[in-house]
Amino acid sequence: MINEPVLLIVIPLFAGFLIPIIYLISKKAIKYIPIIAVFYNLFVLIRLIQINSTSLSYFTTGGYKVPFGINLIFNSQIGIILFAINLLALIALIFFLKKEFHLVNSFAYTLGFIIAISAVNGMVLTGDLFNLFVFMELAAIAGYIIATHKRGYYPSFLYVIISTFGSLLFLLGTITIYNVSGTLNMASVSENLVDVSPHFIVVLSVMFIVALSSESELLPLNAWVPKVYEKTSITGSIFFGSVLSTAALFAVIKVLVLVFKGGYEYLFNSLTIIGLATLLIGEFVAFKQRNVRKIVAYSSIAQAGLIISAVSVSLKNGTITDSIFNAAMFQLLNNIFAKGLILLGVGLLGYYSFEKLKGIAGKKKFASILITIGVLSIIGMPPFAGFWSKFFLIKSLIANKMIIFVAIFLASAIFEVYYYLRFIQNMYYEEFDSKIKINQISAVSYFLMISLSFMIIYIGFNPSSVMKTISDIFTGGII
Amino acid sequence: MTISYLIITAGIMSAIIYLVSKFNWKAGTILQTLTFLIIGYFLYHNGDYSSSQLAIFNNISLNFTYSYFNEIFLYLGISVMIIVSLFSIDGIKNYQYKPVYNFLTTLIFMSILGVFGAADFITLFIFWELMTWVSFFLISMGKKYSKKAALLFLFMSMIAAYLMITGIFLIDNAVGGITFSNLINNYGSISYSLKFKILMLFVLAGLIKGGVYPLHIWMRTSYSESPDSFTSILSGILMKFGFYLIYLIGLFFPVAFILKNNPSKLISELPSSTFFAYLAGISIIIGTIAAILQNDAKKLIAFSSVSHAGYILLAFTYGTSMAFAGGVTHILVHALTALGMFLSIGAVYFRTGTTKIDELGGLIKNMPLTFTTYLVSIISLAGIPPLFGFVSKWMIYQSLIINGSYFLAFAAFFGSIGSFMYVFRPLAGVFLGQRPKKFENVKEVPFFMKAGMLIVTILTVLFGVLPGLVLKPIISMQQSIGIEPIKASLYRLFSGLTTLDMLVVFTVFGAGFILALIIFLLFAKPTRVKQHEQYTAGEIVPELQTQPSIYHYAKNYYKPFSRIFDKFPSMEKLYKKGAEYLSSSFGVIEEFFYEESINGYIWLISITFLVIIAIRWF
Repeated sequence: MINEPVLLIVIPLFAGFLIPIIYLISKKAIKYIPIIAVFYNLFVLIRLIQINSTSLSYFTTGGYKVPFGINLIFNSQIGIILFAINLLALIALIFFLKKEFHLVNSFAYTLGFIIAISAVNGMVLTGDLFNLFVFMELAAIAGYIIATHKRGYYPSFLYVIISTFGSLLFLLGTITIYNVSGTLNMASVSENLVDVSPHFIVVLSVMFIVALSSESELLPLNAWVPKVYEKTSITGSIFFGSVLSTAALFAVIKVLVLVFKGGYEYLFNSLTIIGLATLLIGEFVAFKQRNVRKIVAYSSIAQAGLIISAVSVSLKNGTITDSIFNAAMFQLLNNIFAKGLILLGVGLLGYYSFEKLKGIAGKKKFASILITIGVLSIIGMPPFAGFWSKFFLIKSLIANKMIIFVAIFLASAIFEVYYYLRFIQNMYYEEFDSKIKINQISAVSYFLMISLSFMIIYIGFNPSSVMKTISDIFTGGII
Repeated sequence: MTISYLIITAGIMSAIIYLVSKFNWKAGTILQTLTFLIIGYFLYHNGDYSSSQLAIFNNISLNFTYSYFNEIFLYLGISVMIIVSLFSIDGIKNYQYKPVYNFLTTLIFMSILGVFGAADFITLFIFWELMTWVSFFLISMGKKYSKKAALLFLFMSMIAAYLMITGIFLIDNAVGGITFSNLINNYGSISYSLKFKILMLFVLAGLIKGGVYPLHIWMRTSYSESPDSFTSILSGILMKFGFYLIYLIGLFFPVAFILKNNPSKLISELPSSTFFAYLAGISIIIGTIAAILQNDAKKLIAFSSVSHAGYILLAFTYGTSMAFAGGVTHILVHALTALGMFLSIGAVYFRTGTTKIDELGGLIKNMPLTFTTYLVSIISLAGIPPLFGFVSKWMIYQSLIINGSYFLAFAAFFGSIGSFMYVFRPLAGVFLGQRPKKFENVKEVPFFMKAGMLIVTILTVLFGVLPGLVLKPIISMQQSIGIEPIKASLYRLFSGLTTLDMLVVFTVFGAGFILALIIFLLFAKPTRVKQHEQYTAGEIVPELQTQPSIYHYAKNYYKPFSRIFDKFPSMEKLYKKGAEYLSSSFGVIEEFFYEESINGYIWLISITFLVIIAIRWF
């Protein structure tokens, strides 16, 4: 029983049900439940990664065989990505319990968080379209709670509206697919979609593109991203920046690979264009910002655009172009750590606007250096992790003669380098305003940051083997 | 010791130097100098050409080589770093972040070893990028406007880097590997149009880094605002990375120089080398004029670098064996002279706190060695015999004359004559003339700064008298790549037209100097006048006390000349306007896509629907 990936979903969910009961007994004790659950999750994941091979395998639930019951898809590469996601969730959680537990409605927030972890794991694992919808809804509902912060309710409200719109479209698309294909299993859907008329596919694709854009931070449904990132708590920002966005992107990629595999050139062309537009617009707008959280938000939008467009380019020919796809997944993995590190570090410093961060490195040297590592990784400077993912991406794109793609990507990357390093420069070389109160950073927080930067440097010095462990996620064949 | 070990050593030492500098910055800087010296010694001691690999990455190993084509650049890099580090032992006293400065300059040293020691393009690129972000932090440490300067530097460097990486992967695709040897072996299999693309990408990257007009815009502010001792590294080595790239790609892609010796199909089809030669000519002229108009000594040298970048590019694109050797020599010349000029101006700044020419004056009495360094460097830079600069310019001129190109010859001579004007301005304004009262008690710089400057001076004179010391490795490099080497002995150079004997030149000039000195000592009757005396003629001028600099004789030094260029369009202003326009359009984008209200948002969604469906229909 311990070797079932479904545990990753069930355990947090169970913990979520446990919380109200424990809350009646002791209000403080609910702190420990999510930690235990996520630790257990990580433990299960390590076991699963060891046992499972690199080829995709189905895990049925409830004894129903594959096309009928709900099933989970797992292999060791998905395990690695899940591990990174859960690790970041753990970091956010530890930080939350240590620092922000007393600041917010602790009961709702803890509950929301643990449910969100369950939903996120579900989004990554599930092999069923309707099931994916359920998990996305669950994540979104938990996300509303996490996004809400006393600094402002408007972003959370905007998030509710936009994400509901996306969900509705997704549901509509799922129903339509069920109508024509008679199944909801992602892999079987693609087999049954072969005879459907191309016009129908167009409508379906448009539905899915727009529906998935809200969670995966793509245009046109990403207006909630900068506002939520800006106003939510530190825990919330790490959750949205590293955990939810990664899982949502992965879910989108999974839908693209499993449902729409085969020659839907039109879908992938439009997604490439939308992704590149998201990339460019995200970087351009981030260029204007003078608030670190907004910068990370827009850059996260841009990265999502980059990854989705790279993935759709790699899927265009009906088969997966491995090199581009793997590089995109590597980029996804690297962004988890780098974004988490920056958001955590800036959150610990306690200020987000350039004005207030001026010269803060003089007072908080070590924290600033760790943030710098995150930034240097995200902008792709050697010897950090981000350099290699950018490197492999450019390499594979040029190898497949996508020169225009590369040109757009690199042009936007120049802006990214510029605004991120402007932020770092502002932290190091401006005069410190002595009126600003310096926040104390505890040893635990430092430990969390160090572990993240250690990951970045480890990948930076060992890129090939790390990339190998996550490559060929969907091409290893299905057992 | 192979280069890979030296690089690891430099990496480890950077951390140790940082820790030592934390406790005592002076000890840290001395340790840095010793590290550089020892690493240089090991490279020299090993002697033989060798290749090595750094395989801490599983599949990606970094290849290094110490070979005929990069030997001279490695020594150049190491010696410049040693000199600057020596200078820094006293020179960084006033800096705010000394330990970090030492740490980062050691990383720069590492990246120099990596770039010049690379045996494949990826290694080169990795260390190039390392250099970019480290330099960004170093430039930011400088003066008041250094942050903007650093950002501009970063922006331009990233453009160069991304052009380069695109070129690298094009090569990788075409020949199935990115090592230099692989490229040489499979050069023939690349199609012509691809060759052209790759060449353009690399040369553009090189031109940005090398500061050739109109891509020079980062140089003025980066040079004037960065910390003084780092400016020397920046202009001495880092700017040369660009030309090293052009040199490399020229070696493996025989576009310009090798073409003329071994005519191949490429020559007739490729207009690039002529185009770049003319660009180089324009760069020389514009750099010279702009330099003449500067009032800040460091900005002046920055624009002189634009002009000299033009000389190097001209030599590289021009084609003959002599011009090629002249180009490589000019890289060394410019590294050495820019080093001397920036160190001496840095020394002036160290004592006086300004580099504005019209605020200084008469410092020759206070800082004789600094003056000597500056004087020797500018003589070399202007290409006046008998110093090192004359050798490289002679070589470039020889090839120009032999091949006969009027515009380029005009540009080259214009640059030479113009350089007399601009190098003379700081000489007269900073070191000669009357000394402002507040600088009467200025002392000569401390020992280690003097030592650094002295070494530069000695090297400039030594290489001027015995150019064979530098030309020997160039000749052996030319032999190795299979082009006809230039003919030169220890102090003689032979072109097709004439022979240059630097020893004779030196003797003649030395004798002339001694004669002039004797005449000066015997007959000159100098009268000492106080500053401003010639202006006031006994009258009391009220502004003299409040704003003495407007009566400084170096104010508007070349006014008649600068009046000619008043209406001259400025490339930098054009870029600035473009940047402002871009920035404001980003604001519009933000308002459109990320506005506050939900209402406008509905439109966006509808438009997306329409667009996606429209793509299908068209």
